[in-house]
Amino acid sequence: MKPVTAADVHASEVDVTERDLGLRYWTQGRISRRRLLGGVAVGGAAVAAIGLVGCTKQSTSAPVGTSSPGARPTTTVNDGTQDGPPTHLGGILRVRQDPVMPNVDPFGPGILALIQGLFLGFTVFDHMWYVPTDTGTTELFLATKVEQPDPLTVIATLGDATFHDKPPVNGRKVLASDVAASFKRFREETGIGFDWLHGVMADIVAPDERTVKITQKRPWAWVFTSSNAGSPITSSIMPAEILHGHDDLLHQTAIGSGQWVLQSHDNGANPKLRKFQNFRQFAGTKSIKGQPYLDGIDFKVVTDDNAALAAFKAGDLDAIGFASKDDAVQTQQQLGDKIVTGSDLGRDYDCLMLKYEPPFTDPRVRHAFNLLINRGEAIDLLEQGSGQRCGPLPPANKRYVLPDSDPALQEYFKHDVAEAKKLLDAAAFDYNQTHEMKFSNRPEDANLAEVLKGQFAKGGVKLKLTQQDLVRWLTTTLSQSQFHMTCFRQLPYEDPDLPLRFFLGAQGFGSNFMGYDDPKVDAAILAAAQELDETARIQKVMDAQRAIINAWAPMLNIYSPIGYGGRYAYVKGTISGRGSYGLFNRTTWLDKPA
Amino acid sequence: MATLAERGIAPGREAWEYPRERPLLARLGRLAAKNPVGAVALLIVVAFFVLGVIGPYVAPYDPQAFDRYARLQGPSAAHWFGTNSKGQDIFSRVLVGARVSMTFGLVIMFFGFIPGAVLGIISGYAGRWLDYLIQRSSEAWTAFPQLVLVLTFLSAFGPGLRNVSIVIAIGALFGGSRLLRALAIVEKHKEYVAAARSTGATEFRVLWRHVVPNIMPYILVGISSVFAVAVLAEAVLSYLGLGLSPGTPGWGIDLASSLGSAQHYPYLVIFYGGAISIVVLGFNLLGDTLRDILDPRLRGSR
Amino acid sequence: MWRYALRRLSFLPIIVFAVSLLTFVILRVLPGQDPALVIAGQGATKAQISQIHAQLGLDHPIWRQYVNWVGDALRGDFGTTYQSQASIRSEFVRRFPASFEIVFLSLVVSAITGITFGILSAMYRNSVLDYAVRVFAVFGASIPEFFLLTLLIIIPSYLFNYSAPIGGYVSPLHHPWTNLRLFVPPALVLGIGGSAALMRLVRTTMLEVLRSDYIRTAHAKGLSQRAVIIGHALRNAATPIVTALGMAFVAIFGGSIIAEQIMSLQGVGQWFFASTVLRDLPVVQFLAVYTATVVIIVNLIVDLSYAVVDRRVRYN
Repeated sequence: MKPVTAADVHASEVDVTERDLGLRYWTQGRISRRRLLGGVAVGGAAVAAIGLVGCTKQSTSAPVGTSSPGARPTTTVNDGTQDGPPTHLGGILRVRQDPVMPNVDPFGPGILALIQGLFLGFTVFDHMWYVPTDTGTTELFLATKVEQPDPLTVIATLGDATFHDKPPVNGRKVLASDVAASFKRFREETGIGFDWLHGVMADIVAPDERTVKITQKRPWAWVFTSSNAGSPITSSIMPAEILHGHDDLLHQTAIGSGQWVLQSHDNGANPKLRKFQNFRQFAGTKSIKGQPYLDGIDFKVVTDDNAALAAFKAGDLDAIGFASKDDAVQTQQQLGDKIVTGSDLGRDYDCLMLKYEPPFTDPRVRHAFNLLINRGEAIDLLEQGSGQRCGPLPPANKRYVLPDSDPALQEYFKHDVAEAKKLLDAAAFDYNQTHEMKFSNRPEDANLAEVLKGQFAKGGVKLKLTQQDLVRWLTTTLSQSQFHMTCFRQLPYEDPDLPLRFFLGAQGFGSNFMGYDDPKVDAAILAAAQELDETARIQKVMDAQRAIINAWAPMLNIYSPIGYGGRYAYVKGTISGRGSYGLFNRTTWLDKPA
Repeated sequence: MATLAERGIAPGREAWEYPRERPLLARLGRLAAKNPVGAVALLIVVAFFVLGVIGPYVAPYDPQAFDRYARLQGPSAAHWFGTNSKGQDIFSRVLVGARVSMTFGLVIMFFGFIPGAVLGIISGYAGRWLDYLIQRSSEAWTAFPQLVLVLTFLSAFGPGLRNVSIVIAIGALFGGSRLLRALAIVEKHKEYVAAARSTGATEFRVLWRHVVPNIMPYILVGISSVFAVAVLAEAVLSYLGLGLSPGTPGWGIDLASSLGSAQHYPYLVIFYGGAISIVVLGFNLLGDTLRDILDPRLRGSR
Repeated sequence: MWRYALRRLSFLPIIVFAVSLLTFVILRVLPGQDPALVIAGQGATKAQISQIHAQLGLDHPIWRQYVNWVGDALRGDFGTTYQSQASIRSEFVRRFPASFEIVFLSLVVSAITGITFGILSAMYRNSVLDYAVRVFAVFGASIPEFFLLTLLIIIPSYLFNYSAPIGGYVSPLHHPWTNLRLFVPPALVLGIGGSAALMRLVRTTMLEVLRSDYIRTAHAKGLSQRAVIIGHALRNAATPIVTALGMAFVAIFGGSIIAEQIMSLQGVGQWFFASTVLRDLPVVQFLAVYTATVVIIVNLIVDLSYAVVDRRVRYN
């Protein structure tokens, strides 16, 4: 395969939009795709841990677009320009903070670091690039050019940018060595989102001030995505001099080169962000001079969902993620055209994990268990119909997911108690055995467990439910695979890499939570991960999904929920339908005098 | 923490009431009849126990059976209290939930209040070093934040009806001991105790046959409070994510899980919240009535 | 009585010591409490866990960890939080005002409702007003606080799109009006819940006092009913009122966790809860001692006022 350089699309020569650039560049034989909340397999649970502390349901937090509640997510790219150029500059956007961060250190502690990482990564820290979920093409941020001369090497050229004006950095220039040092610092941490740093990246060096060179141990097509080198968490660029030996500083403030400066916070709560006046004026090859348009964003800790809705209705918050469709519909009715509400198919998904031990070593038992799951009923009971059935890959990965018409996926979604019983009988399944299913005390997990118990009972399979507190479940039950069965809601990943990797056994980065190992499944997943041509990779991702279904791999995915959000109509220029890209909302502006 | 330090209704804090010379049980019925509030309270309490026993048998539906086609229906002839988001019959869940709350109360009574009461009576009756030891332990235990106890025990051994009620019971230990100790001290100096002793009765016999019956009304007051505490504790713990697993029929957990929908479907919270409030009100008013009857300062003022 | 007070006070350190030891042991002995698992995060190796244990001093025997903790605590050093690495003392100082204000305002509400209702109930004994007031107060204590507080948020929002300014603590010195709007709902809920016992006590005392000879004398002297109530009866009820307020305090103190949670106040109660969930041992340890000390002191005050009542009643 002939590597393509990006030189021909450099901004100075070609007048194209960022999106066109991405499409042209990445469809011509490179890499693409993204993944975001990589670390978040568990990170998600960590976010929810804080949600638990706040006694609230986890909810979507990004302002949403203009579709009406219940509408299917739109596929048009909503990059914040739909409302035209801003008529008002400045002003402060007020949004809800939930969960609360324990501090502002992206490195810790432990299971909470992802929360700081996500919050700061989208705001205070800058990145070389990002891959929005809708287009799947890499958009350049700090990098002005990216080349992949061979499958193992990525070379990025950086543009001009400075760090925030805080001691000891005092607004100095961002150097390639900062990028390399930051990646290496993140490599000292562990976690699911850090797999690429440990398992794929061989080294990252800065040959000169503007050049970053990444070498990989093996080809990994998902390198740019949000699970890997485009991660809002682990690709955050920080000043090299504070990465070691400055724990106190890291806990108190965050210094980056992103569009927002962290002005103040109460030990992680109620952070106030202010516009970084010296923010870089380009995004890759496109001018973004003047952005962000707002003067700042104030986050308010609101841990209770009812309180958050009341605050939004009273006009104390400019945008909100609703806890339910009912909230969205009723609020829209009450406030009329003062607000705009919308929905988005979630990237998170509910799953049931079976430990690879008897009786689940028998694929017929796993197949039968899948047949006992009634996904449609689960969506009705748990989400009031606002959800979509989920195969091996969550349906929000539109470009990669098997179409509903695919025979394999139809087989996966099949619900048939009689057939399940036949399979169980054939496998000499012991109906008298009670199977223990552990789950956390997050409401979504506990409710899922209850519904699954009822569905399995219809097939004569007895489940014993064991609830655990979230931290215990996360750190012991899931992390150390101390379960027979467990069910939970996965975090929202932005690319297929991590959702597929949950099935990856010994051939991958070690073992998976289920202790499952199937060479055929591994081969299919790795084939997709190492296919650099996007069109070919889409096919291989689909093949991998089919392989997972054929093997009845012991993680049975159930559904993805649909999230609802709302904002006041005066909030313009929001970004939606692009996954977490909306959190980089430089283009939001308030259509009212500041 | 909040659950047990419930608004000062805990029995251990009612030391300003003082016993009379003669047993009072005999008069209770007559006085209660004269007292309309007390009668209503008693009715609520009796109804609660009846429901607690027969609730699961008279529930019209399986409280845990889902029905995706009967979700979120308002109260109707088929579903008197409506159905929840999983299509479960709320009326049935309220009926079955009474059993949960009653079990909770019974466990806390047997494993928390009664041992505490025994300790208190022994402490007051025996006096000396035993009194000293029990009183200081009681002080330390009462001061110990139950939040730590509840959270750590539940994370170690898992939530669920059994573990939650046991841990609350442990936390409630000593709860009634102070008042009963004070009463035992008063009783032990009474003449009948000396008289009984002079006939050669053992200390245990004196305690059991003479002192305890005299204190019994106050024990009833304490038990009344224990049930009020238990019903509230289940609700508060469930709200904090430490109670029963969502889905289990229980007034507290059902109320806590429905709060988010309260605006759209008020019936989801009214019946659970109402059941809790009415039953707790019943126990509290019953306790108050008993106290009024027992209070020497109000004697003769009626 | 003073001797009694002093003797009780001398037990305070012993009891606090016992509480701290109990907390220490529970947090370290029960399974599933290892803070290193939380700190290390997903996929940490055994070596990393041991390294964290060593860093935090968790690899020492429990008795030695405890001795170290006591040594530091006696010097006023309660360490730093695991979660934010901030000094526990400064974090406590930051969070204290919100919790204090909830408790203080709730006590004020308790005192006002309790005393007013108690007096009304005694003056119009066995009337409809008496029953109504008593049932109201007891009913207030019978609804779960989180339910009542949620209703206080939902209903004004549904009817008027009104919301308390939820979103962090606001100092009463800088924004008195915002502060008041933020604190009125929790103060009402906790305060009325805590007033039932006080109301009962005031009522009983008033009834007793109103029948006594000197009140009759006061009436005979031609003093108005109001003057009698305020000038004589209420003064006599002062001690039991302190007693009941002490009891209400302990209840409200505990209930503030719920209020802080719903009102997003980030106070001490919310900190206690979050830290226990996250196994932030030094914080839990400190707050356990703090809570115990406050509760013991308040109980002591309550007991002392018992002693006063005791004397009067016993020798009446």
